[in-house]
Amino acid sequence: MVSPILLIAIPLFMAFSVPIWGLISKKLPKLVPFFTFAITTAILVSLLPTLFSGQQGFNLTSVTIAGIKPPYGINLTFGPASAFFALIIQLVALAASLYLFEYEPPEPAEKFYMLFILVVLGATGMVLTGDIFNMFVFLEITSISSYALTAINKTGHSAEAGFKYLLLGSLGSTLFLLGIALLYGSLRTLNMAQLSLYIHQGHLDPKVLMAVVVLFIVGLGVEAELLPLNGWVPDAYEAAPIPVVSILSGVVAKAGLYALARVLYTIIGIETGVLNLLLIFGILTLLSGELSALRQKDIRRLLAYSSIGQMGLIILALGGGNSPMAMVGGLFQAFNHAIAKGLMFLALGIMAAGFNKWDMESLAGVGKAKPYTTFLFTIGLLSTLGLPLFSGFWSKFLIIFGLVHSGQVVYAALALIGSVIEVVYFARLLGYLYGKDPSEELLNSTLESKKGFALLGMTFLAAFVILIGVYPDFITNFILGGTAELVYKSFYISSILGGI
Amino acid sequence: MMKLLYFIGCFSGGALLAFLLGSFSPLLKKFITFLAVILGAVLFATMGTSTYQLSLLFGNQVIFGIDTLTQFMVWMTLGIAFIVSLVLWSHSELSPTFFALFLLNVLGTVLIFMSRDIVSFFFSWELMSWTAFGMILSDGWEKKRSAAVKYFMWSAAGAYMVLIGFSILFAATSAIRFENIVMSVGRVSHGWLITAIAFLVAGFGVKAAMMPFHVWAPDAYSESPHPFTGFFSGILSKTGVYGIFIAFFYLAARLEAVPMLRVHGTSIFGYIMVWIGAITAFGASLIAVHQEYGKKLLAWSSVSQLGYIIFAFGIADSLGMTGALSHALAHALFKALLFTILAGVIMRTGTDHMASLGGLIKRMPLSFIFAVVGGLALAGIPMTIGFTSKWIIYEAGINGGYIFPTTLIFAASTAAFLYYYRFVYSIFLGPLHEEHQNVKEVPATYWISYILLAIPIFYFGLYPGKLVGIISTILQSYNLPALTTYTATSVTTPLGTFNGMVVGLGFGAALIVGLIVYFIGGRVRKAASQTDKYLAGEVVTNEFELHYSVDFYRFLERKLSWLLKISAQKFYEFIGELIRFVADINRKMFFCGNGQAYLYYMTIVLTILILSIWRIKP
Repeated sequence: MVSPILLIAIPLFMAFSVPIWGLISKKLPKLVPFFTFAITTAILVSLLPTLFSGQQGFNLTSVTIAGIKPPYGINLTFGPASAFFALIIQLVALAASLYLFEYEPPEPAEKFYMLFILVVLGATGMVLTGDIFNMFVFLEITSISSYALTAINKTGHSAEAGFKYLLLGSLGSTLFLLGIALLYGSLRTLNMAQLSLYIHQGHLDPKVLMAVVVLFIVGLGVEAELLPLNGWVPDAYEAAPIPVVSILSGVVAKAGLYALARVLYTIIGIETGVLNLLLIFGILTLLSGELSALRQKDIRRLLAYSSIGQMGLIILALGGGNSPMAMVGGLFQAFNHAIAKGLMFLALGIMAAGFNKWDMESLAGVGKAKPYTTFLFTIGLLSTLGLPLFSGFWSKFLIIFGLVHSGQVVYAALALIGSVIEVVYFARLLGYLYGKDPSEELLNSTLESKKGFALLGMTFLAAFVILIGVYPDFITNFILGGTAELVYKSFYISSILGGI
Repeated sequence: MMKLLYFIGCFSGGALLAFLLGSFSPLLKKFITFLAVILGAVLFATMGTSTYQLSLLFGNQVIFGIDTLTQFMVWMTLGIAFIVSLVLWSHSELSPTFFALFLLNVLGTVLIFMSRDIVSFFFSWELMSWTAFGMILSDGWEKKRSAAVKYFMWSAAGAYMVLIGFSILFAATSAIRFENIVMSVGRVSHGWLITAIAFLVAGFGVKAAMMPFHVWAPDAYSESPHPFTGFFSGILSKTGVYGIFIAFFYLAARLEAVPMLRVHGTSIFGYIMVWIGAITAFGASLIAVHQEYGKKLLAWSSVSQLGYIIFAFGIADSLGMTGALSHALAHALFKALLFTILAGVIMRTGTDHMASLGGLIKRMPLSFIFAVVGGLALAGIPMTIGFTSKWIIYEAGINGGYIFPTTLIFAASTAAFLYYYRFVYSIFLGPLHEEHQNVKEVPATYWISYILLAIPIFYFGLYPGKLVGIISTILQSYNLPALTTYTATSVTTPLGTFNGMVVGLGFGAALIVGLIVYFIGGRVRKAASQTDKYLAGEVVTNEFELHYSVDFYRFLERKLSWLLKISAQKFYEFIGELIRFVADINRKMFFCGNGQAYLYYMTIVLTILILSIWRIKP
């Protein structure tokens, strides 16, 4: 019997063993991330059937650690929501680690691979844990590794970006910790199910509860790219190495999103009026991100702003949680955004490989110079735009329907205005990529960019996009289960603490 | 069930094959596209009228159905798609992506007409929209950039308006099937229903190029790949018309009972549409008169013709409905014909700038003859389908008592004569240009498609009863008012009876008499070569530009310049500027690049939120 704990233990072991592999052969550390994630993905997939066996159609297992049962010991929870986010993280990490095969990381290379595994490990831990302080620890593992990875390029630019990220991120985690401290001070427990139960029974002063909500939203909002807390995003996405960027948008942001959803939905509960906060944050993030992308020339920054916009859409969908449809759409969109943005960033890396210019003018005509890579990029782009045949269509459709269903017609209309802006800049980008003739320099760079493994990883992501786009029921069961796990507190509490 | 999957598979499989194999041999991509369209038509013919269910989203059934209206629209679509795939045999230069996207586009369009629920409708709608953008893009970019982006932006905006409209209906009725929505539409409050219908009509109006949402259409039509333009303007715009039809007649009928919302014997939406349609028809034909490029001229003419359809829809009695649907078919046929002829001219001469063309009648006589046929239909001359449909629309306007809008429609028809004359004269008549001495007639694929399009144009012109019969069956199946008295050649309307055969043959006889007089007179005329130049007895050299298609209608332009200055374009440009301004401010504020500022923002947000806690109830 494999246990979900291996999803954390194996990467932890592999991360710190990277230097040892390096002693055997200089080439070996390059392969470590891929094999780590291949093993963890295999474990995760083998665990998936256990999720859908219970009476409600889905199942939540609690894994106790060191033999002490919750609420006293730390536990891991493995339900549809946790597994769904873990799957997102593993898929993106797997594709990104394939990209590493032909990628020369900045020195020291071994530390790069180590940090790379640690980011993914931390994010996986965040989505699996059942203990809120443990979640903070994993958040710190993820974010500190990401600061380091952002700044790893050893240029002034990346140091600056890394520092900004560090400033915001560390203040954010401090606020999150403060929120945890407030909860612990009043309720004397850190187990999430126990907290949820106590809050549900009304043991917490409403004002303290609201203070906790505010601290959690602002604290986790840094990773989840909420509006005034996301100043680090464009700089970090521009300065970090490409595989790291795909991890930042596909893994770190999604873990932050999961933490936000888990804390607000399961622990605090949506009766408290949190949803209005989420709606406002979501729509402002969305509009600000899309508007900023409108006049961007640098494709990395453009994608960064677009990523902010997409995160805004997901938060907005979570804010429409009165209707399960919006919530389902939000989780679906989280999946689509991780896959599509990861795909786009990786493809962009190859489009600019051996060339290293990232603005639209320089990359104009890349569709003729590197047709297959640009084709994959286009699949990600069309999915982000929410066009049919690609997975993004279904999530956007569900989000808008869900928002209107929960009575938020104005928010839905504003979100669609943001989408129209998105259409404009992506259409223009497509025009540059396909419509022009490539420059000499770009044509020459194609010789240097033979990237078989990276293309394999990206093809794998693109296949997911199209498969789900054509047949969404491939994954919807999973998302329905995830939504139910997040929303039905009593199910979560009784699965972990036993019957009440 | 299986037949529908075969049908979808035929087009999507064809698209995949054309995309993958097309780069190996140009013959293959053309052959696959041609075959897929024919096979699709054969499959559709075997499907009859039936309903199909597919399990797609959360195990929900999405419904596709075929009724008489679907058959009418789909046969129209597949017919024009067949013409395009025929013409494409002469266009190896288009990329495999174009062929693949074309098949997907046809599939999306057909599925729109088949879908019977919100999910499948919106899916097909978006599929149709983005593949059209892809086709514009696949054919070069540099000069098409603004047209392509504008098209995509507008069609996204339109699609999202439709989405909002649908989602309001869904939220109020909890149903996704059209029939269930109609059944429980009584639960929707009037305010929401009006909002939903307004969003739906505006969204579909974008696709139908209804003023003031028409600004994308002339650019997009004229910049789309030449063989595809006929389909683009003839069929894709009809999806908007179809959408208005279902929005209007599934939903708006309920509002008829509210006296406040009734104007002039129809619902307020109908009244607004009559006016919008008339203004679109008139305004767009005035602009078409002043175009210098053939494709732009036909594109504006398309906008104008769709105005007729919207006008007739708004009247919404038996005459209006019949007129709208028959003009939908008429416009698809003659616009496909004219755009295909222009595609042939561009293929042979490389330009559609009308002042650089001229005198091609001797070089491309077949194209000339069919351009005249298309023009007759466009102008609504008897013996063509254009007469049938326009006649019914005029009668609808008069019968409904819409005096001023009908006057505008008449004026638009006069303008249609003007721009159509300019089109034919500038391209085919007048002196021949030096560089076009060796221009050849279009290849066989082209003139076969001309003939195929001309047959229904004449058939439905001489036998209007056949067309009205088809449309009456459709309208009756929707419980809508229809014209019920007709024979093959004549149709009885509330204002009297007209006989297409008699009028058509009379007109044809007059035409033949005219031709005879012309040819007899030819003996006494002194034959001059197409390149001879003479000016009131004064001899000019060959360099002197005598072709007066430059500033063709200058006298009109002087008179109407004040009217032409009223432009929706400028308003949208202003909005665009405003958005760019806001975007810059937003970026400079929230992403200023200053770490300290970011920390301030964070502190401010935290403070505001914490302070606002105290406002919450104790």
